Amino acid sequence: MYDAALGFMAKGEQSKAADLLRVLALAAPTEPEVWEALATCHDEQNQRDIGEALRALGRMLERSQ
Amino acid sequence: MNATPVNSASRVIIEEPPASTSGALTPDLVNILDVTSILFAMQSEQQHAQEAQHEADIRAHASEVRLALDQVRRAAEEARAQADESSFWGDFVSVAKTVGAVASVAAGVAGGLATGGLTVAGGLALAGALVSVCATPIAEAFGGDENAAFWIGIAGSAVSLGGGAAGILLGGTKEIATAGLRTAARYGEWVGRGVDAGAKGFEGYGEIRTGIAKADGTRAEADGMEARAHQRVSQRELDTLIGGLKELSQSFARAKDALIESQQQIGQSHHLLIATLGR
Repeated sequence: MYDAALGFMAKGEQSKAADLLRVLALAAPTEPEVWEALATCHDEQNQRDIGEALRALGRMLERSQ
Repeated sequence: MNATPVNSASRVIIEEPPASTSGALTPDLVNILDVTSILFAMQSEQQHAQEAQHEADIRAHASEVRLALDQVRRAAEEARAQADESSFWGDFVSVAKTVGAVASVAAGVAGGLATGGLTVAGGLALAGALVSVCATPIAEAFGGDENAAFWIGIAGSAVSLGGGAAGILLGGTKEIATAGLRTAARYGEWVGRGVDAGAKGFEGYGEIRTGIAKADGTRAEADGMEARAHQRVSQRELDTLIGGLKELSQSFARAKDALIESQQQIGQSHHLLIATLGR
């Protein structure tokens, strides 16, 4: 599923990628790559503030392990 | 024979004055008390009805979200069952299994919300997914601060919305305080409790509080207004959370479609590759 999300990102379909990454984020919340990818989707949709917030959450969850 | 009417008439004459004296006041007083009681009862009933209505509205919204998530889960489970039972799916068995995995996550979130059984990480991940799916609105509703308190606030509130206020709230507070973020944990607890109280009928209670405050004087009235202002913020957070959860259930549905699309493309590529190599 992660690969599928990256595939959509590579094709510029950030919205579809974000839908998949949200599911992954809930399934595996402590995986920093998922949050980073989701943050990148938001960055590329001109939502850098949301992207940064999600990165911060990913770091927080990674530290909490 | 004659004595009886006389006696009864004299008894009437003797008893009449006190009856008429008190009768001038008592019926009015009784009426006033009755009217007051009725008004008081009506007011209490109205306030109670408002509280009950508000609580029912909130619970109906939460149920709606859970139903939406449950529908996603059931649709995917049916797809998986079809994949197991029928050869129709053929190459798409793996798609159905993946869709089933999406459904499991959706069901997990729905179940976690319903019972308060989400883990701390799960609650925070839900907060992140909500921020992602709602983008600006939820960030604004919760203050837009990207620190730990912001995330814990959303997580605590989202879980308390589902009915299990204690789970994430107490667990989260304990674990995050252990990690050294005591202030953040306290803030999260405050927000979570605020929204949980909202689920118990904030507006109705706010009106009662304001009514009492008016009777108690200016200072108390100011307190009541402050309380109402706080309640409005919590109500806004609650509304945003409900909207966010609905968006999230739609995001799950889109994820399922995106997965099917992705796997179909992979399947087509494989067929093309096999066809090319076969030549």
